[in-house]
Amino acid sequence: MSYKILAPEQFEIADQVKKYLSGTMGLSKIKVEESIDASLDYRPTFTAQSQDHHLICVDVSEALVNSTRANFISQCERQGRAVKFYVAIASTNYTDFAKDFKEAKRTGIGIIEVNLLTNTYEILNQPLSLSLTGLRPFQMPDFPKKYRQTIMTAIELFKSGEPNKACSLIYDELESLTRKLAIKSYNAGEWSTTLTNPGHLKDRMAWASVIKHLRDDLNRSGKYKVVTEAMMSRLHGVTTYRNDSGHKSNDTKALQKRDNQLRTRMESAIDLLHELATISNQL
Amino acid sequence: MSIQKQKDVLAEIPIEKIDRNPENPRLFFREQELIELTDSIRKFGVRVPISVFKEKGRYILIDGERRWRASLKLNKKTVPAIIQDKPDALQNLLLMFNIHALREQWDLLTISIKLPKIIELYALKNKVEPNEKQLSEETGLSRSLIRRCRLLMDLPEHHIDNIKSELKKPKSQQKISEDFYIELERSLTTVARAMPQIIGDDIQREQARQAMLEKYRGGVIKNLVDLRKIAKIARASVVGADVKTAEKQLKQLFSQSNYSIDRAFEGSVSSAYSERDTKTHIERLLDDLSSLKISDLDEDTIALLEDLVKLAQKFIRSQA
Repeated sequence: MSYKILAPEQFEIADQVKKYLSGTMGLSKIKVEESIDASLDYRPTFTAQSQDHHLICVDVSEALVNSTRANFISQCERQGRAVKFYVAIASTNYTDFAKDFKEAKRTGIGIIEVNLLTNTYEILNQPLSLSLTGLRPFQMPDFPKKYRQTIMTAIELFKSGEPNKACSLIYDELESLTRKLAIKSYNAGEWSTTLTNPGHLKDRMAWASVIKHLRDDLNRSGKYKVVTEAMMSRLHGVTTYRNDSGHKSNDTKALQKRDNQLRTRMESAIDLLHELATISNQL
Repeated sequence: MSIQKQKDVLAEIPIEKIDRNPENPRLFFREQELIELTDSIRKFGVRVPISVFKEKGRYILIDGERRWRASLKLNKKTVPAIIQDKPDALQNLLLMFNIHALREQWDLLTISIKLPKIIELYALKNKVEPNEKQLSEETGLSRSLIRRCRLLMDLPEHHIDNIKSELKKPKSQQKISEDFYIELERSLTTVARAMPQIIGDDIQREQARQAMLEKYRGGVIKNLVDLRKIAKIARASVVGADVKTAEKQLKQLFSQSNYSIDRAFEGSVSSAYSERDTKTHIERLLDDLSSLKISDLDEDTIALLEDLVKLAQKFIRSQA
């Protein structure tokens, strides 16, 4: 196999990596040093489409981290690309391995270690889909302490490829908080309506109905004025996605669209949780 | 350089239409250096056009293979290039040599491997082999660099392979360098000239070479400059040291794996060289002092001179 960009001393390892991609990973139509598309200013050593519609990119390199590659990763994140990026390295002495490994892991880069003597491979780190890792950063100290662990777990789940579960965790907290707010305000006599079974506010009444009551029946002349109709309308919007796990994607475009939607939903849900938790503390 | 003035055109050319020059002497493209160049091109673009010539609808690189590779990595569509007329085989090589003589230098081995080709093509064109001065003028390389490269040119193939595998590594990880072989070959050449009874043929030279390589790998030789002491031992007669002892020390150096250069040097010519150096210093000091007046010297210098006189008298008395 001949390469134009790769340094000649990396040819042998690149040939082994290509065998691994086609053999062990089952990838076909592997492209060598080809452009992905004009909007991305980077050509990985190998690119191929995976069964789950991700674009698998592999760089054969001596270094796990370099700034041009990091720039490409950021580009993919910004564009919400369903890309999984690996760096393949030879198992040799690597200066600053721990530091670079940490950085590669932080940015969602997968690591394939190739042993040329034994023709064996080891995945040292699984890559994350770059359509998910671009989640907006959240400052944990801004959130009440009791929600921080949940939010951090949700973010971790989201980035590691389980965006639906991640969203569900946040929705659960939102629902629980809404119901507590409803029960508290109802028991305080701040509703303009009387419920036949107020106990149902705790769990049996649909979450959307609880929100609807808070939007329409809450007395906002006193301290509950901070629970605005606008906020309740936004919260009501979330309930539409409560049980929507997203459609199974048939191609990369659909996967990217789904991931981008989930990313927006996740970010909005965390923002709402922040607002709701903040005003709940005042009540 | 005897290259005719050509009609050069500056243009942005499609990157996909460029091919590498099979005659490019560069053997190694170290990744770290490529990464640095790629980063620079990403931030500032290609600031210096590459040089190409046109052939069968495509462009062949004369200069700028690393810029081309970096631009490809960055998925660039075009690259700025100076398009020149197609050079003949000698011009093609000389162009590449001259470009690199003025800019970033190739590895010495890269030059060493291509020099014979230049000499051959030059001889074919001019009916006579170039001398060192002509070779320097044609290639843009300094004469001392050419001499260093010639030392590598004559190495047996397996030593060339040794250097190649070292040069593939990042510079910081290279152990057996081109400089090791250059220092060693210089010294072995001196031994072969001054003491043909120690190195009289290629077999003895290779045995000596291997022995020193093993010592260097094993840490018995720690400093490349120490290799120069081998030549100093071989020139024992120049400093009036005992030649037989020097011969014996060199034999031990080339046959015993743990015998260090310092030990052979101390056991043969060290004191002779020290004496020569001391004599040279004293002669220089006498020269300096004889050109001075007493009014030129301050108190500290006079005090030092008094110490010197006392020490000199002590030596003279002990000799008597």
